[in-house]
Amino acid sequence: MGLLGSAAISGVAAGFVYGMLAFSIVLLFKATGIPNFTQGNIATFGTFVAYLLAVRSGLPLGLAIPLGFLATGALGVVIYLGGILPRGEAGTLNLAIRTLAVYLLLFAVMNLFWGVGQPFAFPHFLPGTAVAVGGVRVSLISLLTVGVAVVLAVAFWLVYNHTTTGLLLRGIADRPEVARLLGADTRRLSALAWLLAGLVAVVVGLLTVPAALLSTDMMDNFLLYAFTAALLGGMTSLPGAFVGGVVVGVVSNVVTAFRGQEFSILAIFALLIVTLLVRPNGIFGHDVVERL
Amino acid sequence: MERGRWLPAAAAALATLVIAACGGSASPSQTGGGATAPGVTSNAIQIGTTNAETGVVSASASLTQAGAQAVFAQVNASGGIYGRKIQQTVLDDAYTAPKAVANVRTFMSKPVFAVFGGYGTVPAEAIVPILQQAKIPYLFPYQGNPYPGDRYLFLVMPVYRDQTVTVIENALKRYGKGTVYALVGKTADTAQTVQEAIQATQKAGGTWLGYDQVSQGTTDYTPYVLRMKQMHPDFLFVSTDPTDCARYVTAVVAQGALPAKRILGLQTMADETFINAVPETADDMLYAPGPNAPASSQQAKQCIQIINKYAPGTRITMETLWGCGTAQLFVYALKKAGPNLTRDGLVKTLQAMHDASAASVFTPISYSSDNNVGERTMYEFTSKNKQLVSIGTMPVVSSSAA
Repeated sequence: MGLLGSAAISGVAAGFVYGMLAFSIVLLFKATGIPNFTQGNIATFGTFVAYLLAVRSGLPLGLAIPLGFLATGALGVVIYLGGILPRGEAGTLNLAIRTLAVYLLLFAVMNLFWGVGQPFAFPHFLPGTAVAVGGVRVSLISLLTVGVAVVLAVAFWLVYNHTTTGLLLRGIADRPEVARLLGADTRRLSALAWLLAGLVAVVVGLLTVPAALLSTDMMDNFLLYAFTAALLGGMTSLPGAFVGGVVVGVVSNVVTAFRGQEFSILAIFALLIVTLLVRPNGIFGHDVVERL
Repeated sequence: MERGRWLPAAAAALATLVIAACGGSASPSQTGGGATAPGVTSNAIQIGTTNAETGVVSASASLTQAGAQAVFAQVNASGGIYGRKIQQTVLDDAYTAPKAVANVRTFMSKPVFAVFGGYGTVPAEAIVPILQQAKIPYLFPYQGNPYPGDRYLFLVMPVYRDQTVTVIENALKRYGKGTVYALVGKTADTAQTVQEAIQATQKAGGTWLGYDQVSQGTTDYTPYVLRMKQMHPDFLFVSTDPTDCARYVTAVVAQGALPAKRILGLQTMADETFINAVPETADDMLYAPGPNAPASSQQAKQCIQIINKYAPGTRITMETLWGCGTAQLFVYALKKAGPNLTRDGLVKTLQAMHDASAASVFTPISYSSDNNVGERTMYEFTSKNKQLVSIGTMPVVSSSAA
């Protein structure tokens, strides 16, 4: 297989990582209506907690990782209670900017306390074996990413479509007043959505860290691609996030391989603009009801 | 007194007072110095440092500052230099040009005698012209861009172009001739650096295969690795910031695309952070120049003792030792400049340095009126078992001579 095929395959692997982060953004957006710019740094936070517990405190990785999940779930709830809930009726733009502020705050705090000596190599939690596919070595972690993506997409689709909690989560985002009138505890449900988004973020961090290496800014560039993927997929479609991610990954890697990074960025954002012109709600999206 | 005779006398008296207040004409005492220059008083030398205390390179930058601060604390504890304590004001530039410029404006109004240290090319690029115009010495920033003809700027480590030529020529000499492929970070100097690398490869009898150019923060290096892999190079030259260097090498290992002989880099690769971050399989494949001796060396012992005593708990890395070395070099120059300290006097003292063993972690330092880069040899590094190993020194090859 030539460079084109190899680059495309590597793009699919990278695309699932973008898709996974996009998925966690969409997950929260579906439940709260807020595009969360903090998501990348929440992923970094969870990965750092697991790393510090494993490497500096000497805990077994099998214990450090679950504690990382726990801490990040809690962080998600704290961000919601401290940064989003107070005057939560301020509007989507206000809330989105709050997430941007939390993103900067979280970055500064992590950099202050954990930045010295970065980047760090995260301890191996999978064998370093790889499968050769068309001239590209696809690592076990990439295959795992695809597997986890499928599992998460199916699981959350089931939750959102076939459970009371999932339907209520969708309800508080789409028709918050109606949901409240029907007795939905919007605070509890929103906190749950932030908790779930935090947990998914740690999965993203752990799947990203072997290649990106652990640093306080490791998700910054991924976030841009993830938002592009989410917008391409439609912002409300969980499978759409992965499709968008793979599109971004393949276009990015193929164009990079032949024309370099500048052209790749140009191609991705041209694609995004064209998609939004042709399909304003993305490939799989539907009309978003704006909160008034 | 007649009006015509009283006025000139009063004006002269006033002028004397103003000059004295500005420190322009006070003479030093025999044992100590007076106010001989802006930022210099009888008991203090004010210096300013604009450093990335926060932001993407803060981890490394803060270590260089910690190393320097330990040396200044030691000097001050032993009475200072000719009775003057070094008072360092450190302002954060977050590795951004606007903040660095604002910091320098603050230093100029303070005023400071000199601007010392700092980390990275971005702040340095912004403040070099300002300091040059103000004729304020700018000493030993951790950066490798060339500024020929700047009389007030003094660097320690050779510029990136020279490091590029040096590492390629020495690698092909040490490990045998072969093919070279490169990945370079995008800077204003990239085209020139690549040109120098091509010439150095050809001069050393090697074959240049090509290069890729990347911007900081690339998310996936695999496409670049796939391009490189098709070429099967003997040497892979990597020149970008330390984090991206580590990410690229990690992708190279992941794709099983290690070069046949060595991975070459600049001083960013001769660094514990980089070595610790890259996979074990790349260990023993690295070859890079370093501006100072590593922590495991005999030459680093003095600095380590100072840092442990005056900045206990500070991590000892290549950057910490760099900071210590630059501060020792500064102190050495201040002593040589004598009690009657002036900016021009310091510049002349530095320009007169020839093979000075001013700091144990550096190779001998030389400057002249047409050379503002101190090191003429660099430490030669490889790695083994995740440890930086110094395997000697290599003479720096001037890029214009390549």
